[in-house]
Amino acid sequence: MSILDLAWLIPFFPFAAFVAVSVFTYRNRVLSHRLVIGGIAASFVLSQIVFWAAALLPVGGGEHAFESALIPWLPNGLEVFSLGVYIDPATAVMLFMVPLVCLMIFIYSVGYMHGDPRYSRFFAYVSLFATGMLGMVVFNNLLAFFIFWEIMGTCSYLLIGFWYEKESAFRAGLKAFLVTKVGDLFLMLGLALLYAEVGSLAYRDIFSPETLEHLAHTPFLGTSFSMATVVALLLFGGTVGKSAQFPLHVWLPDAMEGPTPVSALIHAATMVSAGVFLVVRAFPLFAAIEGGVQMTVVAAIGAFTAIFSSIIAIAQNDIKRVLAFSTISQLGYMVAALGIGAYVAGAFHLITHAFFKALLFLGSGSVIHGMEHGHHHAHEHGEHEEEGEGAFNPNDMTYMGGLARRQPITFWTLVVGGLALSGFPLITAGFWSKDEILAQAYELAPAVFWVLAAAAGLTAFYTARMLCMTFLGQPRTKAAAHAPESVPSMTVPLIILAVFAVGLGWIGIPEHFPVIGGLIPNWFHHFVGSTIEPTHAPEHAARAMGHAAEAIHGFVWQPLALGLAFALGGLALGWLVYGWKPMQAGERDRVEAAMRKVWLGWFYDAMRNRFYFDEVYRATFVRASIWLASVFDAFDYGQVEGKHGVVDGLVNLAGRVGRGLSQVSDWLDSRIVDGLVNLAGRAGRSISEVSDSFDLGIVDGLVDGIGDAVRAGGRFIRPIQTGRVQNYLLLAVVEVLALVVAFFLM
Amino acid sequence: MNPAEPTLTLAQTLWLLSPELVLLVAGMLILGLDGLRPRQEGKRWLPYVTLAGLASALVATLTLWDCNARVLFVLSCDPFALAIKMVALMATGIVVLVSDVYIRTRSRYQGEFYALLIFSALAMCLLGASTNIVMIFLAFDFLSITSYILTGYLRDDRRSTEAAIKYFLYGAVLSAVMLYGMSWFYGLTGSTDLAEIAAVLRETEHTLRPLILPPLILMAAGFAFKVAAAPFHQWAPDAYEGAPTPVTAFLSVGPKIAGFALILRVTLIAFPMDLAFVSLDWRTVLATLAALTMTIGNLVALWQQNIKRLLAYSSIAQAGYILIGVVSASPRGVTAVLLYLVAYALTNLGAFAAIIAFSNRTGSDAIDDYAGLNRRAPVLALVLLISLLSLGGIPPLAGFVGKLYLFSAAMEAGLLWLAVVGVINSVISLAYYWKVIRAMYIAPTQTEERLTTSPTLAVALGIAGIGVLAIGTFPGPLLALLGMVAQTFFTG
Repeated sequence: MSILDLAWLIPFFPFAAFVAVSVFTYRNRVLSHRLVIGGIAASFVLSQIVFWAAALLPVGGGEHAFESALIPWLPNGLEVFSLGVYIDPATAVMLFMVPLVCLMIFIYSVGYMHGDPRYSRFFAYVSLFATGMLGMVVFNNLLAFFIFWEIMGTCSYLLIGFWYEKESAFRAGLKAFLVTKVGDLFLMLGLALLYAEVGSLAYRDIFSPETLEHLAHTPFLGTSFSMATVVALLLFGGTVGKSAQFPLHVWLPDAMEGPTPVSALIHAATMVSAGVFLVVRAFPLFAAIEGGVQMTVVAAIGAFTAIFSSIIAIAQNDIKRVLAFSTISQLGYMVAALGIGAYVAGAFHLITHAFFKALLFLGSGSVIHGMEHGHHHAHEHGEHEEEGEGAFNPNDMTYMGGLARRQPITFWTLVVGGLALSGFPLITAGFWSKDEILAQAYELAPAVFWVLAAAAGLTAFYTARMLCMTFLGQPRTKAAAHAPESVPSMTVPLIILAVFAVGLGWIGIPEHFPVIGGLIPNWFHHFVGSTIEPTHAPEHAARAMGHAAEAIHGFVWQPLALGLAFALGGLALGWLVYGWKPMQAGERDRVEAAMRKVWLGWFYDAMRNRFYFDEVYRATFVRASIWLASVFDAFDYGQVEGKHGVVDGLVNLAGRVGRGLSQVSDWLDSRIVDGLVNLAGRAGRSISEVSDSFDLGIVDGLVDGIGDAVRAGGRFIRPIQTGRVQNYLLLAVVEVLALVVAFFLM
Repeated sequence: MNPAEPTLTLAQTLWLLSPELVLLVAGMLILGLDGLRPRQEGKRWLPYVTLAGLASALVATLTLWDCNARVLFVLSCDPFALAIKMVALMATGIVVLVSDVYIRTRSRYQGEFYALLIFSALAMCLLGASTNIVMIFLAFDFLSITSYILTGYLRDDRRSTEAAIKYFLYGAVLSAVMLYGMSWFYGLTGSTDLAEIAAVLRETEHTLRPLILPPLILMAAGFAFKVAAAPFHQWAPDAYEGAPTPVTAFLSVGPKIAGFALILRVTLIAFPMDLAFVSLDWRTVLATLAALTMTIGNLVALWQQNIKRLLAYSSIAQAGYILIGVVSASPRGVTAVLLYLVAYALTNLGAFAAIIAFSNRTGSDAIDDYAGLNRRAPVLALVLLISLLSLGGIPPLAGFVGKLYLFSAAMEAGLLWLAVVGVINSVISLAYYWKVIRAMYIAPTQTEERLTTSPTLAVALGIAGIGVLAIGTFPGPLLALLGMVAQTFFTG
């Protein structure tokens, strides 16, 4: 029994905390957050042990991965679906990152959520969220992967819509849930197809050389695509949804409605990295056919997402939205890296990005927190804002400025995070991971390289813009002038994350890098690179990996120089535009002003409005589904409630014609004969009702020739007479005939 | 067909029919006991006598477990029939538990109610075991008639009466349509025995194919009515909404169990897969119905404000999922159908138990009134939550495992498109289940008044909730058992 056997406890601790808080301790806030932080701390400690054990053993990929079956889970005909832990280098590095970042975010939340009426519930949810992410990482098959993936999806709904009194927050939660579900649908189909073909979803079985060879050579339903291609593309659909890749990126910016720690959790350490991790996990499948269309699709979507969302980020004024689009863009980087076969580089960026993006989100949360307190403070002292009450938005960077003096710790840590995001050379982690992606792209796919390099320049530019607008110059509002520094439970996690945002890069310095290369061994590459072993992966995958691995052994200076030029150029340009002469209150954004001057205002509007994706989706998909549902509704429910829909009307028409004939005589009978008999009893009724029923009975009765007469004459038998069961029966017979005819024609 | 069929002695025949006989005696006993003391108020013992009758029948079924024989030429006593009987008896038992308070407080007449439930169980047992189309028709209408009466049981309630009449008229027409189809088959093959029909078709299907299709569709229409599958589902929302809620619970589960047992037996025995043309035809017809049923049920459910009506449409959609397993026509498909029936029965009865508990205290079925239920009755809300999530197919609950097997059976049978429709529909269904969950857990509440639950309902809630969780987390033993049962149709 090795310590790795206990890895299942890693997701169990936060789950236990979730149960304990939601069932027992939710009335006691302090105990609740202690339990949750204790739970994640326990899994953090265990994860570190597992990580070092895995690194020192070391475990490898494929057959060299550590696996232990825990329980027989779903018996299935002859074989049994067992659940167990599976630890390979990719798992190990995720275990290094996820609990650590989660722990920081949870500690930070103690300060950030202080005073919230649903404080305990928040901690219960984030704990369940961590369960989802950790469970997804440690278990040994794709079905468990999918289940935990869905737990995370549910938690994202609960957390993004956490402040559900706000209509926008509730809608954002729903949107995130539904949009990612579209991706999940593809993922589920991919799993089903894979299972139908292979008969197993355990990693060891589906990524074995024989299986991959089989999948690569089985055509899909007689088309020229192989099964491997189709399964890989379906799985990638899940990634597109979860990791907010184009065209399903629309949920992520709205997800900023959640509390800021949630933004950090979802957009740095867990949910969005889950999508990329899926590709990392299933990489052998993606690489099963060399030059397959699936890799091209992955690379193209990744690269397009990277550049597209970094353009949008330039025109956003909400500090969290800038970071949101930056996240989408960085995820595009990772996906593009995986798409060109740069497996290790993509995984490396996934890890470094998690740290510096968590840092940036938590830092922005600290800024927002400060702005809210500053606003409150200014308000208390009677210094009202010029903008008035309703206009104040603590997230809006145009209201900030000069915060560097008010919030020094936040400022310096955010500078570190920003530089890491921009890929500031040598000292930041972001540089090393981004440089590795660019270097490999230069070798493997020049087109992708240029797109990513341009995106790197834009990234540096908007990062500089964000830092300058927030921290430099004079405060543009009273709220900014009074913003206090945040409490230690918020700033300490910032400092810790800042340390990682710098230091983490050193484990992945290419060995052939000038001067400092080789001083520290490129540990990350050796460790994670061993996940895909040439001897055990099938021929094609081996060649793809071998090729990618070769690139890193020789040093090529062009991509480095170009990458540096873009990153430093972007930073410098951003500082020149926004930092040299800081923005004044009420001043228009300088890029906007410049673009309007050269008749590009329309393009800027498009950028600010995120290229109108939400509007287009609302006008097409959302409206179409509502229309479809209402058609069915009119068809069915209408008959009971008397609402008439399109189809209902057509069906009724047929019924009316038939009944009209027979009802004329019936009507004469009931109106004349019964009418005479009932006349005495009706005398007491008001004249208006008599004339009303007369009118309805005669005029409509003649025109429609149907149950309107009955309706006017005797409402007491309505449940039977106008219950329209006749329609049901008529319809049933028509349906039988229609089915017979339809199948005969077929 | 079975020349070697051994003749049974009278004792053996009675032994093989013991579950049915026990039910018959129990039903008569209840009617008699009830009639002995007409004026007694309350009669709290009635449900327990009913439960005892059902339990005895269950024991009788268990003692027959290893049997595989034919009784009186028209009934089969095989593992499949026995499994269906067990599921039907247990489901009826839960219905009795949820009926207790509801019926006692709303009707002066209780004896007939429980007797009718027992007779319904008897009809389901017969339907699950019938191997002859005449017997099938008799059992089919037996179940229908008890269901009509139960639907209109609150005879002073206009809605209940209206529902019963609609259900009755619709059912009468559809069973006539089905009977027409059956007579057509007799005309074509000269036999009413399912296996013999298959034998004749094996010789003649090449020439008779155009003549086989119409009766196939006529019979499918009758079966679809019984399980409330589209487009023959229109009676269901009205009947479900108007019927007394425990009867709604029964209608949403009982006829479906029996109906799917019937569909499986007829399709797999009379039209087995070695009949190339006929099997293709019926699978196409049922696949069409499956896709229609899921889509219509789910899309219309999105609009409902009344929880009984919502669950009515939901149960229509559920029938569509189950049809997927039928269309797969493989051992795995049959296993999946059986598993899903068990999962669905537990889940839906759990949901209805919660609804009844709620309406016993508040008198409302409007979803908006469920606001804040988690604070007013946490356990009730939890069971309803588990049930709705299970209906939506969320792991680790029974509904998820069931759907997993249904869809995987479809994939295995090459019905990718049907699995896709099923998966899309499961996603849609989450939207309306979530509406209820949201009301219970998130929406603000007007009142904080605690709701209490009667002991019988609490037992039903507990059985359903724990059952759904247990099947969801450890489906292993049940699956192994059902896999064995499914072999009834595939050996030899």
